[in-house]
Amino acid sequence: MSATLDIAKAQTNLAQDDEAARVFQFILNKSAAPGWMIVKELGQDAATTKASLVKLRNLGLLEGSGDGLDGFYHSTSLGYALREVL
Amino acid sequence: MPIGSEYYYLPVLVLAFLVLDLFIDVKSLPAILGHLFFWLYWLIYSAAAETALYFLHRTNATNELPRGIPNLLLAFIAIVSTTTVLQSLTLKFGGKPVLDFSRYLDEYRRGVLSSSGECKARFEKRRVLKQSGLILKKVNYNAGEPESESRMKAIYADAMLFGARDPATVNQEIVEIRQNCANSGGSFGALIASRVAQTDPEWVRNFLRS
Repeated sequence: MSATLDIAKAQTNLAQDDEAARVFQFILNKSAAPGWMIVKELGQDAATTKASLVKLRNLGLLEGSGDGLDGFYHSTSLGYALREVL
Repeated sequence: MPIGSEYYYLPVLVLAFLVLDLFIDVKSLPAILGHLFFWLYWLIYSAAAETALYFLHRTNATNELPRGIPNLLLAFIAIVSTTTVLQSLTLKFGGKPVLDFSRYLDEYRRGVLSSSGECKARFEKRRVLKQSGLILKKVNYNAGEPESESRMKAIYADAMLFGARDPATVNQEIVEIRQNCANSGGSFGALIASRVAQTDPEWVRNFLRS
């Protein structure tokens, strides 16, 4: 039940934040990516990508080694569960 | 009943099936094979497929299936039936699922995907380390030498000026990297090379080839 609530919360958050949704989709497509690569590939402002990564991490959709744009990120199980309902 | 050769190669077919299934998401064979969760997944699937194959042989022997079905086809049917059964196996009591095996399997599969992603992130780190070293080698970087430092700045500006980014932003980032080096005692060149390798592996490959 808790996972279902987490998915619903994450889904609502991503529906309201296009940039974070793009970052999440990019990581799902790549399976794993460094923060700076996301900035370049999505053509986003570095601060926007950084904020999106923090948000996605707080929602439990991403895990990463390192902080900010210098980290390497991949999707969590919850992230893959969310993909199935998107 | 003697054990046919198909029982031995079925786990290999299961392995190929699972790798194909996960490869669509992970896109890296070493990342899929590089952790224990995948091999446990494969073990469970193989055991289920072997059981399915056993029952298929029995029905074949009792004439419920046409005789003379090739063993490879039987193995393929075993994998397909295992997948369909595992993906829909739910025990409901009073209208509520008491044992939802398909959900457990889906959750485990997502765990395998996540672990593969973690593995791939580790490989990415290794790639960045390797490419950073090659950049420093190519420019013959010497820490503290003004010419080396300017060369690294030029590399950074070249690689990091993309999209709508302006030179002022890039210069500001160089200043921040220098400050980080001063605070942590790290190498300016190594940090620049690492940032460039993280951002654009293709740019680095072209640079190393030039």
